[in-house]
Amino acid sequence: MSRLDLALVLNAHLPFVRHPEYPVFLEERWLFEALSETYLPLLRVFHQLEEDGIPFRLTMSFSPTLASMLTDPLLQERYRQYLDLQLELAERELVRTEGGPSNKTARLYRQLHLHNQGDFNEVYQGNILRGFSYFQKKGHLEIITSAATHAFLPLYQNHPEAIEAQLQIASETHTRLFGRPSKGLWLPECAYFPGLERDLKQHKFEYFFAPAHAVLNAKDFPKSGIFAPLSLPGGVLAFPRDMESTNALWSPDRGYPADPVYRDFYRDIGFDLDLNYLRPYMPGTDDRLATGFKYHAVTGPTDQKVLYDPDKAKARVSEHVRNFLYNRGLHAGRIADAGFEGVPLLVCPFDAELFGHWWFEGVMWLDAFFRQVASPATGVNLVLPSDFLVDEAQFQRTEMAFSSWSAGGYAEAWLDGSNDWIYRHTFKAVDRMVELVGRFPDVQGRKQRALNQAAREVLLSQASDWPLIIKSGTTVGYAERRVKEHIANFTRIYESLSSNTMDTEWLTTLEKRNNLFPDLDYKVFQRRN
Amino acid sequence: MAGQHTTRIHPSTIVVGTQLVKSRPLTPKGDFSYPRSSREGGEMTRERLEGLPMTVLLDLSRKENLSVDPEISPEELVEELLEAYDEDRRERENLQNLILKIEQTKFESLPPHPASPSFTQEPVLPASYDDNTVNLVLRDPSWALVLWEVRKKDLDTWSQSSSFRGLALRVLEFASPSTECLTFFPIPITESSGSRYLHLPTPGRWYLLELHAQTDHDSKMLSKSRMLLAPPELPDDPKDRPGLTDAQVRLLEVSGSALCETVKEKSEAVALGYPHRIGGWDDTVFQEVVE
Repeated sequence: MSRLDLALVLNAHLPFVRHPEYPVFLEERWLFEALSETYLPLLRVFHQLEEDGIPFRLTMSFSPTLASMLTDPLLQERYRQYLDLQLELAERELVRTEGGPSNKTARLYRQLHLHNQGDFNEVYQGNILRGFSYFQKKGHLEIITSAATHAFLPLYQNHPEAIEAQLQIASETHTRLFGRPSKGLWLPECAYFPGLERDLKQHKFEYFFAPAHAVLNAKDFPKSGIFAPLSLPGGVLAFPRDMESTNALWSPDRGYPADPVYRDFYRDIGFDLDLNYLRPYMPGTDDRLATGFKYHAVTGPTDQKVLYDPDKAKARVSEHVRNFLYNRGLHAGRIADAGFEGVPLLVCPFDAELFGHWWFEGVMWLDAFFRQVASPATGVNLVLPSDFLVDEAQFQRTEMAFSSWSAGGYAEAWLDGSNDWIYRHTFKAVDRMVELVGRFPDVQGRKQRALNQAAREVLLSQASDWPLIIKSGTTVGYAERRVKEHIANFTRIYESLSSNTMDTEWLTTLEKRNNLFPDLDYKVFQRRN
Repeated sequence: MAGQHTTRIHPSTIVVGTQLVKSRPLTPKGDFSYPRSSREGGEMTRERLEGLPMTVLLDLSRKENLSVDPEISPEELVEELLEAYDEDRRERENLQNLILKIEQTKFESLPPHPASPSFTQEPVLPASYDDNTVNLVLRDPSWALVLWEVRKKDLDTWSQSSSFRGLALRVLEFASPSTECLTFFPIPITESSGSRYLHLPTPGRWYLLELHAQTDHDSKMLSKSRMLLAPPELPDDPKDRPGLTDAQVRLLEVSGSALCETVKEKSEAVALGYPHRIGGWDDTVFQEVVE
């Protein structure tokens, strides 16, 4: 059997959404859903694997915005309230479905939320990063960071101060929250531009993940294809994504998650049941929204969905893991047949939220994957990127071009007619922030607070999530307002500093609202050549 | 009019040498998406195609692997190209937006316009910051966004002079950041603040934009962008890199070159070749494909 190394990478990211100015804010549910369906279930799988002596290994990136939210007391408290409501709804669902075919699924949801509540409150005391840090210490996990607010970095290459701020604050935040520096950096959207490796090296990031086309189209022919990292100038390693294995899980049409027996993501009681019944569980809105209680299976490309059967889905998970490994074996054979010498490396990066949130059975799939891979018969050896840092000189040195992992391969989703208005404002904000650092090179007290907050607002306006949401047409109004809000906040501080008329009360309120990066030093935006 | 051996140039299309620059408003309405390159469809591309000479249309059709009747009229060729671009688009939507689709699901539990209490007052951002600036932003190997603005007071002053001829962007091309400018071309602009997509003429070159106020006598530079490297000409499918040996092609094939995000046309075999079984699929389907 052909052997191969496999690096599984989960990128966990959400934009910073925190609105203490309102008792309930719907967009905060993005975090709560990810906690309930992905992060907490994933930790339970890790614990079970550890208990069973399964030697699992993977890399996870936590973006600084997500990590900041996960450690925020207000959001932790609001998640507790969300869990209480979900549990209450789960209890009512047990009654509503009693004696019917969906009762088994209702029990499954009740169990999920009960476990989540227990784990969140008792095991992690509100801070789940403790759980992930534990597995890092045990050697199962390599935790890395991403750019501070997940900016699409190539679009800011003409504003090196923005790149510097995104990387430095990422590095500082990660060390503060995880107690050790991040060896690698998850480039937002795997978006790279030539020269970025110098900035990465400066901040002691030793590797990142790259789209396959960036590596296969490298300046010199990639002698190892995608089966080994490339070494960029300065020795930073670029790990290419294996399209074949990742598509098997990514594809909503052709991947495993599309299997008819799996739970359907879209059909939700939030859109099916009487609003009076649902109202208490949809605080803050008169609209219908997804509750997370879904009783139907994917079924196929039809609106006539059959009921979900958890037992059938569980059986299919195991089958799909076997199939995944079977196909990796075939792939390894084809790689050897193509003349590749040595053990090929397959890098499989995914959005963490694919597992559990979108693909309900995804976390179960990961559990089964680690258990099956533990058998030497599979020929698969789980590796971490840092395993390859020992001798980076062994890898081919070359250069790569601008690239990202999205449709088209470049910046099409983040820069088009729907969202390109953003950049006039975010660029200007960076220019003005640099100007402010020049004018106030070393101030204390209220001015320093204002400048630090100005820097936070600039960074928040740069999140790649806003243009993506605008482009994709989901919660467009919110994304547009967020960009405008941060730019307007920054501009108000800029103008107040110019006229020396800072409204302290307003500044204090803003500091409490957009409170991430508490150690941020505005001088991170000092002018660079 | 197109099709009568004359070339119609759309009013918002500026031809500079062989380069095309499309003018458009700062905040477009609707689903406008500027083409990634000269190989995509859409309403704007129809206008642009109709403005191109037949030789360029024929070149585009070769890139699209279209078999063209020598007697074909420009109008027919434009239709053929648009159809091919539309096919590309559908193909890409079907097979290449996997990552974006999953990313979007994080934000899909809420209605598109949630009625949650939001900001008390929607901030209004200025259309311009009344400054002299120009920015160049790379979108893909062929296209970059240009953002510029000119200080109103300066523009008012110049406008009063009879020798003032208008504003212009000057596109400068370099072999490297440390060498002298190889060539440049101007793009007249009418708005004091605006944006437009610029087709980068030569892959692998460095570009810098200058914003100029032009008079009868000279040209005053108001601002310049940072220099930016246009990626080298890269094949959509890395397997199409010239000069590869058979062994190298095999290595790229097993590396999944045909599945890369840049590949627009994925054959049915490649699609089927997603090496896994879905529902009714069985492994023999995969086996047939790899064999």
